[in-house]
Parts: sequence; C-alpha cells; structure tokens
Amino acid sequence: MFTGTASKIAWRELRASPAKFLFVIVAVAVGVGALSGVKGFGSAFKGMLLRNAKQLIAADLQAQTYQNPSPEAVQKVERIGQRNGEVTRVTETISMAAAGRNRAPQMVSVKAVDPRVYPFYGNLTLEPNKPLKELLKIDTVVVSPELLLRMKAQPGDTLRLGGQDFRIAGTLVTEPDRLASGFGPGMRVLMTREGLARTGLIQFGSRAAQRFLFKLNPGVNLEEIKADLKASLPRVYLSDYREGDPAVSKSIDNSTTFLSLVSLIALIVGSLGVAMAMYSHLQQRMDTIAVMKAIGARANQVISIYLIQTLWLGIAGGLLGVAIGAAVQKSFPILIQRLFALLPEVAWDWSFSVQGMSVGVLATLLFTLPPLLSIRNVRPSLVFRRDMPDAAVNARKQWRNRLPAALLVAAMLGGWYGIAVWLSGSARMGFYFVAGLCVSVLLLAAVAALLLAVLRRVVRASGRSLPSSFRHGFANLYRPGNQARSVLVALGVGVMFTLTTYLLQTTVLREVTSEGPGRSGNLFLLDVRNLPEVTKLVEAQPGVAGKLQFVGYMVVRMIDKNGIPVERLQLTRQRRDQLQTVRITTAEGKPGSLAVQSGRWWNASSNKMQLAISEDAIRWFHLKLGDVVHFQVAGKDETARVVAVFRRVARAPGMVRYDLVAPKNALAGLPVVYYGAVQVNPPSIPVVEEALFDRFPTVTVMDLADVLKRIQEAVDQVAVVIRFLAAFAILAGVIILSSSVAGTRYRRIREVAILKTLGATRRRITSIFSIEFSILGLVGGLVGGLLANFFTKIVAEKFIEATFEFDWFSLLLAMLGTALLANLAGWLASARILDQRPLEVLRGE
Amino acid sequence: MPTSTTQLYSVEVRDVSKTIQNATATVNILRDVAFRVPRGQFLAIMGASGSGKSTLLGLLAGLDTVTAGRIVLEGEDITDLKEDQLASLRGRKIGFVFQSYQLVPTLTAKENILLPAELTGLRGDWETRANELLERVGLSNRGHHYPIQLSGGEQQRVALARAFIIKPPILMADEPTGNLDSQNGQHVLDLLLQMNREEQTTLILVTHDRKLADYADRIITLRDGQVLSDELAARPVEV
Repeated sequence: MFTGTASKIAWRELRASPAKFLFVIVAVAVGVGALSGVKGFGSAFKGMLLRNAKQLIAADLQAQTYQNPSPEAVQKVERIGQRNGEVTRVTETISMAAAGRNRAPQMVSVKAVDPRVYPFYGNLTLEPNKPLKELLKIDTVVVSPELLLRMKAQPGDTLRLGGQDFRIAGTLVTEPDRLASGFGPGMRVLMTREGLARTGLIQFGSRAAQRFLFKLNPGVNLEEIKADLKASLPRVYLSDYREGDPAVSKSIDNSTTFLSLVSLIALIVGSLGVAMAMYSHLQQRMDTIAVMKAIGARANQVISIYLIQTLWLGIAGGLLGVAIGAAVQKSFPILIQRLFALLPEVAWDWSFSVQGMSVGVLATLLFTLPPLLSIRNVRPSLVFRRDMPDAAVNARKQWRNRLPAALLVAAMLGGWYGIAVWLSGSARMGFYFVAGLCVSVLLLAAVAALLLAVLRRVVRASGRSLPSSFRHGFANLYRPGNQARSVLVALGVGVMFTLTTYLLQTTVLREVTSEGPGRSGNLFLLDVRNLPEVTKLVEAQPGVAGKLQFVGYMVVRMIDKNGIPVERLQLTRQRRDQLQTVRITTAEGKPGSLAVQSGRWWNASSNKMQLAISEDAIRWFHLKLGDVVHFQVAGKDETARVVAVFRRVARAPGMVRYDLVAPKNALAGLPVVYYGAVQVNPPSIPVVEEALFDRFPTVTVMDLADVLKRIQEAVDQVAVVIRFLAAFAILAGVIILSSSVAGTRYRRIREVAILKTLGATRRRITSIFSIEFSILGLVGGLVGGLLANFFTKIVAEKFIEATFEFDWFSLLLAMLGTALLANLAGWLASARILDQRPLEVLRGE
Repeated sequence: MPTSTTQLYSVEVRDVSKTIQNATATVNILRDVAFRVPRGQFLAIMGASGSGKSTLLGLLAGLDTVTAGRIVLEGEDITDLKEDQLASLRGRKIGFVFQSYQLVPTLTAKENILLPAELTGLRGDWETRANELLERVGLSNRGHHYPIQLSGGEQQRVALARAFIIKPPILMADEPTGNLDSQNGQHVLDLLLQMNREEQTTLILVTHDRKLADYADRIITLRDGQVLSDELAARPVEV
C-alpha cells in the first residue's frame, strides 16, 4: 500500500524543515490553547459556582436590592425568614475613610453584618484567627490587607469613617460571598450593623446594596418563599443554592463565548498562516510532485502525502495547544484570586481538550484544503521545464474549474459556521461570526486590491521618472505565485485587531477623562446633601480652579397616574416595581444634551413641580404629555404634570441619566442628593479631600486619576487577552509573508542570479526587495489602520456612546510598524538568496 | 487501423500538434507530427534547443495534452484519458529517465526504486527485484543512502533502476547523460542500453547529442516543431 510510503515521505519532509513546521504547530497550538483554556476554565468556574453555591452567597437563599427598603418591607422580609429558618441582613456601600499615619482619605467598600450569625455558610479568614463576633463590636472594624497597605495602617489603629472612629481589630483575608457583593472589589471594611448606623452613611437615596440572607429549615417550600419575597421587596433579585448565582453564571457564559470567538479568530488567522506555509511548502515540492506524477502517482496519492502531513501538524499543534490550554486554565485563578475566596479547582477536562483538538485539526484542514487540492493542477510536464507557459484555458473549462473552487469556499464557510456554532452554542452567533468574518475579509481584500491597483496605475503613469529599484520592487508584487493579496489580508487582520483594541481602550479612557458634570473637573463628589455648604467649602480651598458643577436627583415612589394607582397600571412587573423607587433628576433650563420633541420646557427660574420625560420613560412607564403623576418623596406628597417629552441628542455628562426631569427650584426642601465635579490642581487634591472628609464625612470623593487607574486596570485585564491574540494575528501575518516569500524563492533566486549577472550590486538587489516588502507592509498597515479606525468609530458611537475622531497618528504608526515587520519577515525568508552564486543557479536551471 | 497492426507498435503518433497561448501570442510547438515506433525499437529524437523534442516526449508519456491529433501507446489511445488514468498508465507502461535524475529527495535509493511499484499497487516480490536492480547498476551497498548522499552518476543509475522496476514495455529518456561528465555519461549509457536489451523494452531517447543518437535503431530529427527527417540505422530493425 502507498500509505506507508506516503507517511514516510510526509515524516521525512517534516524532519527536514523543523523550523518551518514548528511555526505551523505553534500557530495551531496558540489558537487551540486559548480555546481549550477559556472553555475549560469557564466550565470549571461554573462547576465551582454550583458546587459551592451556599458558600458563595453565604446562605441558602439571598434577596438583594439596591433600594433602601422601607421599615415595613424589612419587617415583612424578616418575618418570612423567621417563619422558615433564620435571616440576617447585610448592607454594602462605598464611602471615604482615613487611617494610620497617612491621613489622606480613600474610598473603601463598607460591609455591615450581624457578626453573631454571618456567614450562614462558608468561612471568613481572619487575622487574628478568632470568631468574627469576638472581633467585631459597635466601635471596631476588620479590614482587608490592601487597606492596611495603602493607608499605611496596622491593626489597633483608628479608622475614621462617616465622621466616627473605629478601632481596626483585625484583617479580613477572604470572605466567602465576595462574588455576591453588590459593589466591586475594593478596600474592604467589615463592620457591625450598629457600627454602620453610627456613621449615618445610609440615608434616604444613598447608594447601597441590601442583602437578606436566609438559612432555611429542611423541607420548606423555596418557591413559595421566593414568591413572598418578590411581593415584599421592590426590585428584588433572588438567588438560591440550587442555581448558584444566575447573573454570575450568565456573565461567565457570555465571557466564555466572547473569548472563545476571539480565540477562534486567532485560530483562523493562525490557520491562514498554516495554509500559506503549506502553500509555500508545496511550491518548493513542485518538482517532487511532478516527478511522482510522471512515474505514475495519481493526484490522490500525492495529496495523501500532504494530507497526512497536515493532519500530523494539526494534531501536534492540537496536543501542544491542549498543554497550553491547561496552563491557561491554571493561570486564570491567579488572575482572579483577589476577587474570590473560593477558587475553582481546575482539573484537566478531556472534553474541552478533545473539542480544542478537533477544532484545531478541523481549522487546519479547512484552510489547507485549497493548497492541498491544488496539487491536482500540478502538471507532470514540469519535470522537463518549469517555465513552460500554461496552455490557454477556454471559457467553458474556466467555469468548470470555478465550480470546485466555489464548492470549496462553501465547504470552508460551512465548516467555520459549524465550529462557531459548536463553540458559542448558538446558531445565530455562528451566523453573525461567519458573516462578520466574511465581510471583514472581503472588505480587507477589496481595499487592499483597490490600493494596489491605484498604486500600479501611479507607477505605470510615472514611467521611467521613478527610480528603477522602486519600479522593480513594485513589479515584484505582481510576480506569478506572489501572494500579495493574501499577505495584505493577513497583515490587515492583525493590524486591525491590535489597533481597534488600542483605539477603543484610549477612547474609553478619554471619554472618562473628558466627561463629568459640565465636562470639567478631575474631582468627583458623590452623595452631596448639603449643597451650599459643600460648594462654599470646596470653592474656598487652595488649588480649586473654577466652580463646582453639580446635578441633583431624588428617589421618589410613584403613587398614581391620572388617578389610577400604580398597581393597576398595565405595566410589566419589573417596571411597576421600578416605580416604587424611581429617580427624578433636576435641571434648571433644558440640558444641552436633550432636544424637546413635544411640549415646552420650563423657564430656568420655574419653581412649579412639573416633569419632562424621555422617550424611554414613555415606553417603560406608558407616560405621555399631559399626564398627571402623583408621587411620594420623604413622606411628602407631590403632584406633577408632564409638560415636555425629550430625546437625547448627545451623551449626558458623567453618570447623569435623564429620564424623568423636574425643575431644580421646585424641589427646594426635598431630600435632593447631588453629585458634582470640580477642577483641582492635582497637588491640592489631598487637601480638598481632607477638608471635605473632616466636615462632610459622608460625601464620597473620587479622584479622577484614581478612577482612571482603576478603569485602566480593569480595561487592561481584558485588553491583555485581546492584545495577545491580536499580536498573534500579526505574527501569523508576518509568517504568512515569510511563507509567501519562501514560496517564490525559486523565482527570486533566478532573478537575483540574472540581476547579478547583469551587474546589479547586492545593495541594489537589497533595495529592490526592501521596497517590495515595504510596500506590502505600508499597504497592509494602511488597510488595517483604516478599518480599525472605521470599526472603532462604529463601536464607539453605537455601543459606548463615545465620540471618536480619526486617529491619524495611529494610522501612521501602524503603517511604519507593519512595514518594519514586513521587512523583517521578508528578509528572514530570503536571507540566503543573496549569497547564491549566479553561475551555480543559471547552470542548474 | 486493424488492431493486430496496432499491436505491432509500441507507440503511434498521429498528426499531433501542440499549441500554447502565452501573454502575447500563440506559439506552435509541434505541427502535424506523425510516426510509429515498433516494439523493442530504440528511437532517438534529435533537434536543436526549442525544436519541440522535450514537448513531444511529454506528450508521448501523457504528461501533457495534445492540441490536435492522437497518441496510442501499446494499443491504448491515451489522447482523451483523464489525468489519473494517464498517471496509472504511466505507472504500468512507462519507465522514465530524466536529465536531472529527479529522485524523490526524502526517499532512500532503494525506496526511490520501489516507488513506481508502490504507486501502481501491482503485486510482486519488489524487494528482490529492487535488490537485483541495485546490484545491476552497481549500487548494492548504497541502497540506504539518500539522493543527496550520492554523486550525479550514482543518482542517475538509481533513476535507471527505478525506470526498470516494473518491467515497463516502454522506456523514455530525456538527455539521460546531459548532466554527467563523459566517463559517468558513458557508464550510464552502457547500463541503459544493456538493461534495455535484457528487458526488451522500447526505448525513446531525446537528445541533441549526435554521438548518443548514433546508438539508436532510428533517428527522428525535429526542427521548429516538425519532423525534418526520419532515418533508420544501417543495421536491421528487429520488429
């Protein structure tokens, strides 16, 4: 049987060029590794969530709300808990605190619990190792080690919080329900509920998460309890031990799908590299293929050699990828250990390894199909002369040739669709993925072709006025067998990915820096209640440039609309609940970001209670112009008529969201909470923070630089993954270029020999090739850069409501960087060509 | 033509033309070439560079397709055969010797010799046959060497052994001594002629070397793609 000989040839060819094939293996391995790592960890994480659901919410059942519940609601919930077992309440919020030698106040994440019962399940790791109820008293706190480090404090020191002093009784290393926390990770302060009450941090309208934890008696009806809780607490979010935390599970699913598809893109670009490497390899094996055909090998026999080779490479890459995937799985917990007390036990999961392997091998095969099938077209007459021109192919034959190509493309798209559906578990996602991929590649190919065509026309029109090196270098792009377009597509994809990530990142950061009330200020103030005094204090501080700008809001409970009680309005349950604690924003005149659609906005001086509503509010709450709304705020009854409907024409500054808007002066005497921004010289920021902290300890102050640092950290964690994959795409582009250059090696060797014979110096030949590589790099960078700017603009404006200006500098950088890389890759593949002696080459022809 | 007559001939070339279209013009490489080669005949095809002799050899072996005319090998019309059918026919009926040896670099000398037998899938004791051929070309101790480890003359002797492995009725050789020095060239030629006699093969040799052609039973000379002359050697042709 020929299979033995085919395997022999396949293996010996692999052994003969290890460096070339090592790339192929690495290309597949990186994609497979990313894929199996992400999938494996996602699954391990979900498994951990389910296995440890009780510890993760520290209870059998958790009811969480971001509204401050009324005393009646709390009573109802506590009665439900006591009827069915035990209940305890946990309150979380953010605030400013100061401790130790360094008196600068910093933002902390406060958590108030009943230490006698909290947590129902799971354990706290405390230093000293004592029960929580021994450490936590009304005047003590335990804090995270990070807080001690950043505030330069130590146990025993005093922590000032909400105008009160607390002794730091110990450190809190881990807490089981950190994942269920209402606020993100930060410096943790754990205290008693009585301690929190001392601070006065929680008032009407404060930002706080309330969690009721239940430890249930055996045999209770969980569904009944959940229904009772839903009826008792507005906008409550329930999770129990059977399902883990559905929101967390869903976000893990979403992240896993997103990262899987990003990994798949990396794998696709890698596979494209594999295909090009294979193409170049086959180009170099053309003689052997022709000889085998000449001595009786059928096309399928020859294809079998290279199919075996591809399969081995795919499997080797897959195996290495599975190993990388295992390492990725192992390293994920290290990345997130700060967030979770319980980390998933990452065990090797063969199903994801098999999935990764299969996808790797399939991806490799899909892309290598075209070069493999092109073996059928290798003419055995090549054994006589390589340069024999092809006989003209008539139109009918051309169509006959195109049919298999079309079928091949359809098979490849079908294959990619199948893989994407398999990975994402959604046919729709699979379709979008393949459609997006096709559009991107077609767009890249079209722009690249257009640019090359324009360049070609310019070069032709310039005639002999251009230096001959440039003309030759440019002509090389059109050398038979040169894969200029494929190289441009691959480089373009890589550049597009990298640059889009970078541009989106900078856009988000710029957006945060430029936004804020009034779009001016680097110090944000949250939960401001005593506005005139706070304003006076802040504006009197040294280093404060300009006025404090602020927006106010209050949380109201809607009673009825046009006399119909809220309970009887035809609204979804969620929207009805929302009306229990709906936010009304204040404004004097019409904010610049809004445009009135119908009705009339009030005069800036108006003190009459009235409302302007957004299109969203119309849709959500079924309000309309002329409706009379009756609501309650801080025990007072108010009535307002809807006088205007507006739509958003620009993004509102900072965290402001306008849905229901009332005149600022009409809210005088009501508990309005403000948040504001002010520009402060950076060195003076600690002074302003301290002054505010001393006089108004419940006001939370956010230094923009600090916020930016945190955002940067968060963005960086995601960006690092995408950047890695994008960098890999670029690497694949470089390898594709090298492979393409290597594929035309034979022709290059002859050209160099002829040019040398005719008197060309090494320097001249170097410049010809360098120009060729530079053009490829410049055009690849230009195409990728243009598309990156284009996609960033779309994403920025449609999804993150940010403005984006075309970034010329990034484009220039992309072009120059890619040109440099292209030269590097090109010369790596043609280094020895220059050393060939012309006579040797011409004689051996 | 009656079948019986056809079967007297190893090769029949009936008014064959080959035209190719390059970027600027149509080039007629061969025009109305016609001849028949009786079984066992040693035919030399001569001509200057560009006369079309290598193209003709390629067409005879089914390595390329004719533009017009027909080619019959061992009674089988190959003109309309598909690519794989041609490959299979070459495997069974034609042995090849090329100017530049054309051994598969990743196979050893013996593996190269065995390759046609493996490709055709014919049953037989090929190992013994390969060993015997290695001995006949004087390379019995070089069977496990790769082409790169052999000299030019040795490589061409391996190519000779490979050409004869399946005992093909027709052997085609394209300038088999063109890349060798005179001593090695003569050695390879002697071996070729000796093995050809022993195996009773029809031999078609393309060369521009008159001295080499003089060994042939018959010489066809091409000029500008047409047969200029078709001469028989003084000695009688065995049909």
